Formats: sequence, C-alpha cells, structure tokens
Amino acid sequence: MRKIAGIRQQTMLVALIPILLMALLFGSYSIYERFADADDALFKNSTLVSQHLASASEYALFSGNIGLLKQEVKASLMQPEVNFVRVLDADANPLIAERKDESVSSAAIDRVKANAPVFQDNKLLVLYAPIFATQLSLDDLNEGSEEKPPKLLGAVVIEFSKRHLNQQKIEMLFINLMVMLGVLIISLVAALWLARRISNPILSMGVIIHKFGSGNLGARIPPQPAVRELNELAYNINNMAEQLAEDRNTLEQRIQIATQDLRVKKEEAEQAHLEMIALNEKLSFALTELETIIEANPDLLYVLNTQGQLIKWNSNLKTFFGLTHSQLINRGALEFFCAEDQFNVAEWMNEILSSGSSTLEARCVRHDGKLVPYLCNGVVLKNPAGEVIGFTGTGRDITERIEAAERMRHMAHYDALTDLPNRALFSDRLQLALATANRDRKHLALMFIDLDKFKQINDTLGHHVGDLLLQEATRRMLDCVRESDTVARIGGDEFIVLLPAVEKQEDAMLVAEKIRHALCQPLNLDGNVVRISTSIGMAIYPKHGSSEHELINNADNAMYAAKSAGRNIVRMHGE
Amino acid sequence: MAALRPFLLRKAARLLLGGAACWLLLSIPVARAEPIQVSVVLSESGGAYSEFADALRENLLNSNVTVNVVDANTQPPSSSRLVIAVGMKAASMVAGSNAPAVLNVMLPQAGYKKLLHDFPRRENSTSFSSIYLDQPVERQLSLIAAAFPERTRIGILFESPPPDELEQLRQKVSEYGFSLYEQEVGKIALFESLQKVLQHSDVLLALPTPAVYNSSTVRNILLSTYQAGIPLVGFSSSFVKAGAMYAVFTSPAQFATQTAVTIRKYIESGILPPAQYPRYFEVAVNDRVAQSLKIDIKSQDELVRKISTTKRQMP
Repeated sequence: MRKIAGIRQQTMLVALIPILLMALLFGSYSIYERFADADDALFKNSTLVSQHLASASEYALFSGNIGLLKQEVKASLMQPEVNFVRVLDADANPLIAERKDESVSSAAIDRVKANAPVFQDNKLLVLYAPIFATQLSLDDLNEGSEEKPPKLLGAVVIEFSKRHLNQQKIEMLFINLMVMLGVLIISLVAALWLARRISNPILSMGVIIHKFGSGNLGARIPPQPAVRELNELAYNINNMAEQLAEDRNTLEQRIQIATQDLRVKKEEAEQAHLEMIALNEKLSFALTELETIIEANPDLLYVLNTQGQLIKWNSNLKTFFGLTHSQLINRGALEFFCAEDQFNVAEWMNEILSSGSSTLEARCVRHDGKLVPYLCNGVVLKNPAGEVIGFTGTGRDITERIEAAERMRHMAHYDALTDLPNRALFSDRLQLALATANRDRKHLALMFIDLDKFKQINDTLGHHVGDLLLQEATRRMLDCVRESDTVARIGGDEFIVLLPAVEKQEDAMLVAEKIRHALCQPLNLDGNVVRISTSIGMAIYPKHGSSEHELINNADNAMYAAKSAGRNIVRMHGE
Repeated sequence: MAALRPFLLRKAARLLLGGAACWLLLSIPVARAEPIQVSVVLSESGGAYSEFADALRENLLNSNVTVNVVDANTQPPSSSRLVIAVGMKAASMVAGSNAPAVLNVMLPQAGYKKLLHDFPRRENSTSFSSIYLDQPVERQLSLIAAAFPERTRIGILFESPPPDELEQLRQKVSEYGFSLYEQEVGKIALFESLQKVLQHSDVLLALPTPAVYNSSTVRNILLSTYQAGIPLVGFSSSFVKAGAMYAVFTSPAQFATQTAVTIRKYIESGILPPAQYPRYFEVAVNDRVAQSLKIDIKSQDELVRKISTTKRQMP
C-alpha cells in the first residue's frame, strides 16, 4: 500500500515548493543578471578605458611625442584591471608596449586587430581601439565633407584581467547562495510553523474524532484560535458530537424500551406458542374427536356451500347414498331427496342461509331407491369475516319415530284387538259423512250391533277365546260391508257400522241382515266351536236424526229394542 | 568645449553702402516689359546654400526678376538670362553648360581659376564672373592688426604649390607692419612644420589650403597652437567654433545681398562685373580660446569697424 503523506508534510510542501521555486528562480535570475551586469560593466569600463587612452593618445601620436604616450599608457596601467597596453602606429607597428608586471604574458594581446577588435576568455579581455584624428569641420559650406574619411593615427590594444571580475562573481554567487540559504531556512521555519499551525489543530481534532469513533462522545475539541475555519470546524464538530451523544442517548433509551417490549413480546410469543401448541393439540384432539364424533354420529352429517353443493360428509352419508367421494363432492343437495320434497328442501336451504338455521323433514333416496324420512337441520357457516360460506347439519333417520307416531295415531283411533276404528275415529267419520250427506242430500245409515252372549263365552271359555271371537266377528262384519263403509268397536262387545251413502232404507236393512246372518254362523275359536247372535239397531239420516248424538241414541235404542224382542234380529228405529 | 558666441552684425558699411546702392538702383525707373528669369543652381540643397537662395529671393522680391532655384543635378532652363551657380559643384556644372551668363557665388578663388582653366571660353567674358568665398588678404591682415596690435609675426603653413593668397600676403604684410614666417608642409611632417611656425610667430594665419587645414588635422593643430600660446586666425565661422580665435567671413545672406546687387547691375548693363571678393563680412570670435590664451578680445563691432576703415584707407 502506498504510504500516504501526512497533512503536516503536505502543508509544508505546499508552503515550501513555491518559495523554493521562487527563490531558485529569482536566485538564478539574479545571478544571471548580476553576472551579465558585471561582464557588461567590465566591458563598458574597459571600452571606456581603451577609448580614453585612444583619445588621449591622439595628440601624442600626432605630435610623435612618445614620452607623452608613455605617460598616457602608464596612467591606463594604473587601472586595476589593465594588464598590458600596446600602442600601434597608423601602420600597426608597435610604438610602445607596457605591462603591469613581468608575469603578464603578451600572448593574448596579439589576438586582436582592427577587424577583430575584441577577444576574451574567462580570464582576460583584450580590446583594440583605433586612434582617429578628431574630426572638426572648418568649412562653413560643409562642401565635400563626406568624402574625407577620418584619419587613422594608430591604435591602442589593452589587455584587461578578469581576476577581479571573477572574484566579484564568486562573491556574488556566495552572497546569493547565502541569501537563498537564508530564504530557505526562513521559509523552512515559516513552513514548519505554518504546517504546525494548520496541522496541530487538525491532528488534535483527529484524536478527538477518533475518541468519538471509539464511542467517547463526551470528548470536546478545544477552541482553535489559530485558524478561523478550523475554529469553526472544531465548533461544528463539538456540536455534532453533542448532537450525536444526544441522539445516541435517545437511541439507547429507545433500544432499551424496544428491548423490554421485545422481551415481553417474546415471552408473550413463547406463551402464545405454548398455548398454540396446547391449542393445536387440543385442536388436533378436538378434530380427531370431532372426526370420531362425526363418524360415530349415526346421523348423516353434511356440509354444503351456499350453492347447496355437498363439500363435506361423514361415512354414514356415503354409505347411505352408496356413492363414491368423487360422486358426492359438489353434488347438489336436491338430488339426494325425492322429487316431491325437493321444493321444500330448496325452501329449507334458503331459510337456513337467510335466517341462520332451519329444520326440515324430508325423504331421502337411499342407494337402493327406498325413500327414508329424515329430519334435517342446518346451521350457517361463516368465515372469520362473518360472510356466509355455507351451512352444516345432520340428517336423522326418523323412520322409527314416524312409525311410532303412526302406531300411536292408530292406537288412538283403532281398537287394539280388532283393529277397527274406535269411538273417536268413528265419531270423526260420522261427522264427515253427515256433512257429506247433508251436502249431497243423501241418506246414511247407522247400525248399532251388540254380540249376544259374549260375556258368557268370555267368562266360560276365557278372555283369549273372547278376544278371538271379537276378531272373527270383526272379520265377518268387514266382509259384509264395502270399503267405503266403516265398522267401529265402541265397547266390549258393541260395534257400530256406518253406511255413508244409502239409496234407501231397505238397502241398509239388507246389509244389516247380512251381518246378522254372518255372525250367527258357528265360529271355530281355537278349537272351540261356538254360536252367537247379534242384536242390531238402525237409524237413518235424516229420517231418524240429523246429529251424531241423535242418530247414535236412536240406533242404540233400536238395538235395545231388538234385544228386547228376542235377540238375533234387526230393528229399525221407530219400527 | 568652447562656448561660441556667433555674432551676426549688420555693419554700418553694409547699411550705408549696400543700402544706398539698393535704394539708388530701385529708384531708377526700369522698363518692366517682362519678368527676367534668373536661375539659381545650388551645389547642395539645404544648409548655407538654401539660406543663400532664400535670402536672394527675398532681396529680389520687389523687382521684375523671377528666381528659379534648381540643384546641381538639374540643368537650368534655357530661358534663364542669368544663371547663379552657388558653390563649386554647381559652378563646375554650369560652366560647362550653355548658360549665356553665369555668376559664380561662394566658390574659392582657386576654384574659379580652375574653372577658367577648364572652360577657356568663359575667360575674359563679361558674362562669366564670380563672387569669391575667400576674404581678401587685406581684410585678414586688418583683422590681425585690429585684434592683436602687439603681435607682428604672422606664421603661415602651406603646401606646395603655394596658394595665390601667399603671394598676396607677401606683398601686403609689410604695408601693415607685419613680418611673415612661411613654412611649407610636406618637406617635413605637419607637426614639425607647425612647431617651427609656432616658434617663429605671434599669430598663426590659416589659409584655406585643405591639405594643411582639414577636419582631421585641425584639432591637433589647434592643440599645438594652444600649447604654444599662439592664437590662430581661421577662415570660417566653423574654424572659430572648432577652436580658432578669430575669423573674418561672409554669411550666405551677405553673399545674397551682394549677388542681388550684381544681378540688378547685370540686368541694367548686360555685363557682369569682374570676379571679386565678398563685399560684406562679419567677424567671429571664440571667447573661450581667448580666455584660455589670456588674450584680451575686441568686440566684433569694433573689429568690423576697424577692418572696414582700414580697407577704406587702403587703396
């Protein structure tokens, strides 16, 4: 991984690099300028010296005054840089040559001439300066002045030493380097100071922020007066830390509450889970129980949807209808009932769905085609939303109950020994027949029959034989009447016969005679052959009464009359 | 550097003589039938030549003379009745041309002689004349006499052949009470010649001999005279500026005045006067040189007056 430079180093670099570059640039430029200036100054000074000597030598050359010339040359040699002076005449012959000391060589001085007036290396500068006669115009008209070139009198050649210049340059370089070093040191100190001034607060902030990171939000950054922005930053970081601490407290509190809640909820959930397990067990048990109950239920158990289609049932139902599961599922309930009851079944189902429950007795078609009466109940089923999704119920086989009721009804209206209508049923039928006869303007006949000597037989031959007698007598009477006629037993040996529609009195008498005759025939009663007779009284509607009571009384009276008249006869009321 | 005080003076002589002459001429009724064309040919344009041309035009302003100025490279129109050739170059050109009448102005006496030699047909002609640039030797001698009353030995440097002025000097010096020391340059070097002359003179009179006095030599000659304490009398105002103490000279305007007079005379008479020295002149003085040499100077007016008087006295 690349090493990342710290803020202090980077700040220092930021401060140092431009300063160093500037120092280097300005230093170099300054050295260059100073060197150039020094070179230039030497050159100018040397040129001046040589020109001055040339000028000063003019008159000496003109006058051929070598002494004067020497004087001028020596004056030039007084100049510190001048090493060697040579004066040439107009034909470039050396007139005079003077050197500062014997150590000076004349090698370089030969290297300059009129057309190459300057020679220099790093130690020496040699200049050639021609000596011209100074031009002064004498002619007011200036006519033809251009044609006259200045007269060359000679030349001076001067060798200048660069020793002093080079020393100067070394000094300049040294001073410059010292200044640069000074600038470097000052800028280094300044950069270090600046870097520390900027980086120290940042580093100390970093330490505090690290503390924040470690969770110590109570730490605070001291004010940073050195740098305004950093001070603001410190202030803002402190604010942030405060806010963070506050937020963390709030969060911790919330977490605590939430944890507590969670714990409670967990306990509740565990409790609920346990309860649910228990409940499931109970439910499972209950379901099993329910299944068992359902299965154990002798009734038909069914669950239907709102369309009246079968969706659940017990095995009794399946067995009863003799259908497979696929044949049963979604089968319309109406199909299970006989055609006559289907309307009622539909009504019943609507009743359940609208009012919540209902009961119906209807006949179901068993697998063998037999109609079996069932008492069906139904209770709506609702989903958790309270919507009706169907209904359930049981169908109980009520064959026995109906039969029992029938028996009871029969027992109430028929005589148990002879199975003839009893007095109550007879009364009903008589009432009905009276209403009919009255409506149709017809006659009806009522006979009161009493078995003569029955008591005697019963007492002598036993109740068993008495009962057989009554049963045989009944059979013989029934043989004598039509289906529409009624024979009823109204007492121990008293019978009554109703002929609801008789054309005339004689027809009734014929029936009565037929009965009397039948009953007087011998009877074989369990090996006992007996003979009996009957006394029959008769009353005719409307001739002998219009009410039941009146007619029965009149017939009874007629029977007693017959009895009185010797038994085994038929007597009409009033005759 | 020498502080020069060039002084231009309209001298009394000029005012009296020249002014009177002009007035006399102007007062003569002239038949001004048609303008007379005079061409002025300048050796060079600008400087003293232009100054001369302008001054001439000014002098001829109220006359029937029209001045047509051309330079030395241009032929003057053939309709010119008179051609004024100003300077040596112009003079050489015009002398060779078909100009019917030529007045040469501001050329040395030696130059005029050379012209006559080169163009013999112009010799002895009344339509070919000159106003010299040089001053007459009498005027020079008068100046020396007026300026340096106690100095009697006049030194002369010359180069062979000796100039005409030298002969004139030889003839005149005695009239002014001077002695003449002549040294020919060439036999020995200039400096030695100069040293010799200076040893035997009180004042060095420079003759316009370019071989001796030229722009390259003058400084060293002046230095030598200064070292010797001998004043130098030059022949031009420029010489005075360069370091000569006195010079008598004629300005372009003065030449123009004299030329204008000559033109009028020519128009009047149809002939040109013989070649002559300039009539009008001035004196230039270098105060600083005088101070350096510790010589009292005379005022220019006084000198001009004295010279003029001397001249008048001289036949």
